[in-house]
Amino acid sequence: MTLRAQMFAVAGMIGLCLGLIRGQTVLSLLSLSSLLWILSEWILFYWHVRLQLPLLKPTRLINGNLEANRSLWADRTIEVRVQMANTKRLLGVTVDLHDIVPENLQLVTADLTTAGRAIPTGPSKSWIIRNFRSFFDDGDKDTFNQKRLGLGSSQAEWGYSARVRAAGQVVFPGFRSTLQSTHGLFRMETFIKCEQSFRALPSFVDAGEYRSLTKKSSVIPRHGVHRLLRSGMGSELLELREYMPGDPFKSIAWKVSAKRDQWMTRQYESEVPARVQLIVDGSSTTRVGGFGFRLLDQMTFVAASVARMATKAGDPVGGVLFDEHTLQRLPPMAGEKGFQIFLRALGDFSVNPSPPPSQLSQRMLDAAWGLLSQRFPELLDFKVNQFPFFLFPILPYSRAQRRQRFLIAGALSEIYRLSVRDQVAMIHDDLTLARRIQELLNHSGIPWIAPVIAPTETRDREPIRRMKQLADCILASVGHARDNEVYVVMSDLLNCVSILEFLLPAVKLAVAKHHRVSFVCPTTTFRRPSRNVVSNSSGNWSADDLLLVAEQARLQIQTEQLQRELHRCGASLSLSGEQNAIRLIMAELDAARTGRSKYKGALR
Amino acid sequence: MSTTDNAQAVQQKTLRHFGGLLQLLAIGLSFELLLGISDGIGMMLRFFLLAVVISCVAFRLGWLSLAALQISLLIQEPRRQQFDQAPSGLYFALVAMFAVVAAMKLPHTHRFVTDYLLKLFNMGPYRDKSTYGTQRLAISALHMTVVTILSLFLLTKLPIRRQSEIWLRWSLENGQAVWPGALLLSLMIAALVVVREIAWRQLDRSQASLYLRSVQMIANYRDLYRFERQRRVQLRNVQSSSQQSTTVVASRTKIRRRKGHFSANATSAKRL
Repeated sequence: MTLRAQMFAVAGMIGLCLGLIRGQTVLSLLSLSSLLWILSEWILFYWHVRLQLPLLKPTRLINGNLEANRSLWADRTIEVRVQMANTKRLLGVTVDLHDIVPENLQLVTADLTTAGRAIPTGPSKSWIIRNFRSFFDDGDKDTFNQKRLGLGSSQAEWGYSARVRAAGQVVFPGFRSTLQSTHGLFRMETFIKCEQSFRALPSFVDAGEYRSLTKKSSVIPRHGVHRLLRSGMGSELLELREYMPGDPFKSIAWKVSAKRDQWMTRQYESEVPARVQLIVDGSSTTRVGGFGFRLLDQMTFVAASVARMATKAGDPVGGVLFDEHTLQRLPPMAGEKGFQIFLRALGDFSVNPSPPPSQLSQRMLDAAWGLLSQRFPELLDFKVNQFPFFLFPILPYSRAQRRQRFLIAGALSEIYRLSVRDQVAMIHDDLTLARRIQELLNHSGIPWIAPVIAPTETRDREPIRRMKQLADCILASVGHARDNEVYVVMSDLLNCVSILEFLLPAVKLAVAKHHRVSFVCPTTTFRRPSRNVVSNSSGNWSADDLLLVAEQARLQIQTEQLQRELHRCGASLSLSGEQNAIRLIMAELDAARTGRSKYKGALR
Repeated sequence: MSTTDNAQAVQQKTLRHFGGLLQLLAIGLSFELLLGISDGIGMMLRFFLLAVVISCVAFRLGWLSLAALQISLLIQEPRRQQFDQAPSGLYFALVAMFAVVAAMKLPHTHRFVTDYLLKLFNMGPYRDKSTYGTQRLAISALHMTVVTILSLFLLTKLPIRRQSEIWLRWSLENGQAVWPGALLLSLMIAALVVVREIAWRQLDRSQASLYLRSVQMIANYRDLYRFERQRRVQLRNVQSSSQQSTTVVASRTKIRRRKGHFSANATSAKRL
């Protein structure tokens, strides 16, 4: 029963009582008519709902396909189309269908041909303006992912476009439907399950500059001709190019250099493939933030791009994906199939695991309440979710909060099939309830931002353990390695400069084994640190500018320290997951193939 | 979009806005007539009341319109000892109910009328919903009429007024029940039982499971709460004891260090 119906009922009751007491016929008649009208509307509404709720069976097509368990790509737009059958039989009720868009999707546009009229979400106007606008408007309330189906709705299909924000998982849970009587006196909210789950693969750049140094005609040697099984240069000349620092002296083309009066180098065909080992650190600090803004998203982008370019050049790509709880080793694989396997592994790795425990807050409770009332409204009904009477607290606000807590605990225990004792534990123990709420929010695809994880919990709790884990990964990879490998370590190292001594021995060992180690360190600002980030000649600095400059200055100091330490061990470093990082790794691969001793210009 | 389409769109918009204002004014005036405020009051007050009524209608506050009509009737309608069965009362109630519902559904009414006018003046494409609008209007009108006639019937036949003595005499003369309260009560209880049964049978599996769980929790709540409290106390004790042991170890280490420091000092002193 809506507020409107309640006000009508109150007005009718008062009018009827006064009319009967004072003997005023028309007043009594009018008031009783209004009461009977509400009663009949109620009966009709529930009758219609009972009849028509089973008819609401929308289907969703993603990029024209009905079946789930397919793959989507991050940073690409998908077309969602919703079809609804039996709309002609909807009588007496207005149905608002709201396709719940997962957090990993960003709405782009509505399909204007079918969705009627798209209402852009502008700044909200005052109540007066909104009401007057709604009076003069056509009355269509269709937005991007929302559709109003009323009496005789001829359009039973609508669509919208959305962009996948990041790699991981995209789960469409279903539709939130609001059934309303024709005069808006009664309303009922239900959730229609229509779950479709997709794996979101990471995006990558396909830079065309990088090319293979292997002649296509010489890729498969003849019978009896064996490839060199050690690092170094091949035997067949590929091209001549300008000398670069680090090139071996024996490859200098003396005659050509003398003729051109410029140092020239012979470029040989590579006969030993340079294997790439991508070590991705997915610890909890890299997963904090909205989808597309996590450090992990930068790392998966770089990893996928490097893998793409390496597989195009014919180099095998392997990987180690690890976090606090899991470690997954991917053997070096070449070709398109190997690349697809690697992408799938990265996509699965990008799905957030259970978040670290956080303190219970009112914001967390509100988020859980909102989510439960959206997806499980039937479990928050007082009729089925009952709780014992309590006298204290007496204040209404505190009582409402306690009631909310009881209802949330009941709904959670039903969703996760917990025992009654666990339910009582959730009611009285903040930590237990917080854990369950975090689990619910995480399973519903909410990213690791407040209130899933408190801002104070985003810092690295055990950096030494992480460094040791990273070092173990490098050592294990070196143990499995053959030769001429390039290790690309992607980890958040900027805050770990003071504890690098746990990592550096492993790096030194890898370098001593003639492998190349390159670090990619993502930054939260998505940009390389520089002192001149804000060009402000007028001298009017805003607070944001100052904060950005301070953050960049701090990052630069840390970067210099990190670069110095890594450079000393013979490793290179690139900051931020941009093209520069990919170029640096490609240069390392190039150097590994050509046999150059060291790549100059470590920081990119 | 061509120039003709643009001109047509402008015409439609103008018609919609102008027609909307006219409709607001018409509904406001009809409410004014129903409320009976057109006579005997000053022009300023009349305009003020008209503005209030139009505002109520524009903001779709239908219950306020109903309350205004009720207050007007409360003030203006004469008291009677017997129920007035004159048709004027029925007509008034019918018109008032129509006006209230029209005020509630004003945007829909406005859309319906605009579409009808567009169709009438051939000013562009009109919606196919016009037929549905007519159908809905007819259903609403029928609904209102039935409800008002039923109310009249109930008010006339049920002994809920002062002249119940007349009804009592009539009932006794015709050999009927003294008062239909018992019958009404039993009917109401039966209806409640049926409605409740239907409501329970509509629960789905998760709701039924949750209901059983909550009943079990309420039944054993005190014991479960005690267990939970004990568990928390034990957990707190374990935590505090582990903290104490950590502190003891730390303090012992400090003492040892100090002892070592002292012994080192003593050794160096001896050497000296």
